[in-house]
Amino acid sequence: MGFSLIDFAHSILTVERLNVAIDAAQLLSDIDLQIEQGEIVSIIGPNGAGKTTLLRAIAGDFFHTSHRVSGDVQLAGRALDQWPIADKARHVSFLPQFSSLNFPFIVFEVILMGRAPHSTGDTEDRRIVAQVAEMMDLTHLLSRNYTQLSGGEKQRVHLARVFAQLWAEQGHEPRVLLLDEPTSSLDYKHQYDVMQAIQNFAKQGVAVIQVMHDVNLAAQYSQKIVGLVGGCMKFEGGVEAIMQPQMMHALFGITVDVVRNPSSGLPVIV
Amino acid sequence: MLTLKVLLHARALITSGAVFHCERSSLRSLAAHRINPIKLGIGCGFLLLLAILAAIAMGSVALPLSSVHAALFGFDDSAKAPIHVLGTNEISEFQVQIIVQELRLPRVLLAACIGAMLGISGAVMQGLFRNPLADPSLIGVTAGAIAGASLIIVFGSADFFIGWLPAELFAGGAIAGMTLVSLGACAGGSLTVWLVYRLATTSAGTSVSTMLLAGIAITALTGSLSSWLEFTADNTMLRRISIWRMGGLDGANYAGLILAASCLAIIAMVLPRCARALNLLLLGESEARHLGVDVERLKLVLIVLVALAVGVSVALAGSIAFIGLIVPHIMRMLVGPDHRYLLPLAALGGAILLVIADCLARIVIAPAELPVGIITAVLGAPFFISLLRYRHEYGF
Repeated sequence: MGFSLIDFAHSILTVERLNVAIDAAQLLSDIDLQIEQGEIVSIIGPNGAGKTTLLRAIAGDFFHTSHRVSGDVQLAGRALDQWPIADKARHVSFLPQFSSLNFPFIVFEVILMGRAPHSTGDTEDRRIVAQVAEMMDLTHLLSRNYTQLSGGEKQRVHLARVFAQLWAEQGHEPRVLLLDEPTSSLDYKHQYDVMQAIQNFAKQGVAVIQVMHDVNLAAQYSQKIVGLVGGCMKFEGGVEAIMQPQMMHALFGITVDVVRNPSSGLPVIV
Repeated sequence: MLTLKVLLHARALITSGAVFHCERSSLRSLAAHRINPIKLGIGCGFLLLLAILAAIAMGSVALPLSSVHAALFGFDDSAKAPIHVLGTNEISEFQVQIIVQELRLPRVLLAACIGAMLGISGAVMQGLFRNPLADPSLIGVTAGAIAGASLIIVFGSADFFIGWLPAELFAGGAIAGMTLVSLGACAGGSLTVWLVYRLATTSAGTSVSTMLLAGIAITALTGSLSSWLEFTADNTMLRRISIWRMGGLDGANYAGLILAASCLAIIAMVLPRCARALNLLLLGESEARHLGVDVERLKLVLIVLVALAVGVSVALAGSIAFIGLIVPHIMRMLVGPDHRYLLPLAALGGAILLVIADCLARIVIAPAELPVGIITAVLGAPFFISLLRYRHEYGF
């Protein structure tokens, strides 16, 4: 494939002048974004700001809906719609905010679905499922019926599924992980587990783009933060530059104080 | 109590990590409520063979199995003596041969093929609509077929078609196992499916929910056409329409059997390649796409296959209710929703159910016959209701 030859510092995902509209509503206006390998980018903003829309546009979801999309999204120097579906699935995995699965698969089978784009063989796939299940604290639930799980457990199952999809030895670049509110229904321990797992992926060179509703959690684990309001990019930058009272006011219309996390030294809004 | 014990045992096994080194079948057994699909498949296969043999032997003239065997595989010389049939006078070898080879064998095999196609299309529709309560008739094919058939029954007098259809059709004959009424049903069914599919397809792709709604609308429309036709029909036509609607396999012959068997063969060749994609589709269309499934193509292939299966079934045997709904549902409760096992098992289950139902239809009020659609509903509904009581255990 030759993707391993890509320069590590080169941005593997570029978004230029991206506009998304449906009917008369402009959902996103002129978004520019560049993501490098190994980088964790968090998208924050108020409800209805277009965070999920941006993620779905990057994932290529709107080729199959009645949304009007203009602009340019490139993955590894190649326009997104030029990627064959089966090929793209080996490099990009996407966690939607909600899942509508209502058939009684067992947890093991749902996670195994993440291996569908790959032809790594049954034994290898099982090993990978075992590893991601361990990582997401799902080992004891593997034989349980998915439809009978709690909301948080279901979210962990789907996280395990998208992690399994990108599980690969290095040299399988580019790999992009798109996560829509990966921690929204998780307790603190599992939030921590998920963020650790995401960081491990980033360390292997996976580019991570996540929509986060928890600004502090985003600040603890991201290299870059993108703030969206009303479909426009209000700002984009490093954690220190973004975690400022005036920025938070511009974004959410609230007055906050920024303090330091005593152990990590990273900024926290209160 | 036993279930609980198995579950606890399973948990213990999994937490000890043993699960990752064992075979697929033992992992499946860890899902305590499921039956091993391979074993169930073998069991169903035997049951189907048994049902086919029994259905050939039973009927208004009950034949001993030995003479069924002889009629199928040739009489040997020692069996020259007349065959004594229970409760009737003796009949000759020749008569047995006619009954078995010309009447019952094609009929029973046709029942098996049609039952299999209905079962499979039900499973596919439930996967496609991501709803375990979906039914092949949802896309309007059954209602369209009924309207087409009614149209022929009411207006299909010979002078209407003469010149552009083969003449033997009007003498009550058939081409490729299809009577004129069957052809009408087939045309009506295909036309409605095409219409529903067109209505639901835009440049952005085919919307499954639009298809459902369009199916409802087209079903209502063709339903009113059928009602109008019944309103204008005379008594004889009315009786033909209503009997056709209830379904029946009494018109079975080898040509129809070959047609049904070839459709089933096409489906059996194409569908296994779609099984895994169909599993992924249950996650949602967008999710399936992100897992590398060409969703638009998959939907097209599945709709064409279902339309073919249901269209041919309705054309050859009228509308047979319930098999497409309950058989996949029962199989899913037994082995789980994995389509790689569900599709073949739904085919086997549908075949068994229709063979048994048709056999009952022939013997309940022998020598007359009941429409088979009545039997499938009477057999299926109570079984289905009893399963509903336990549905929470299966995760629905």
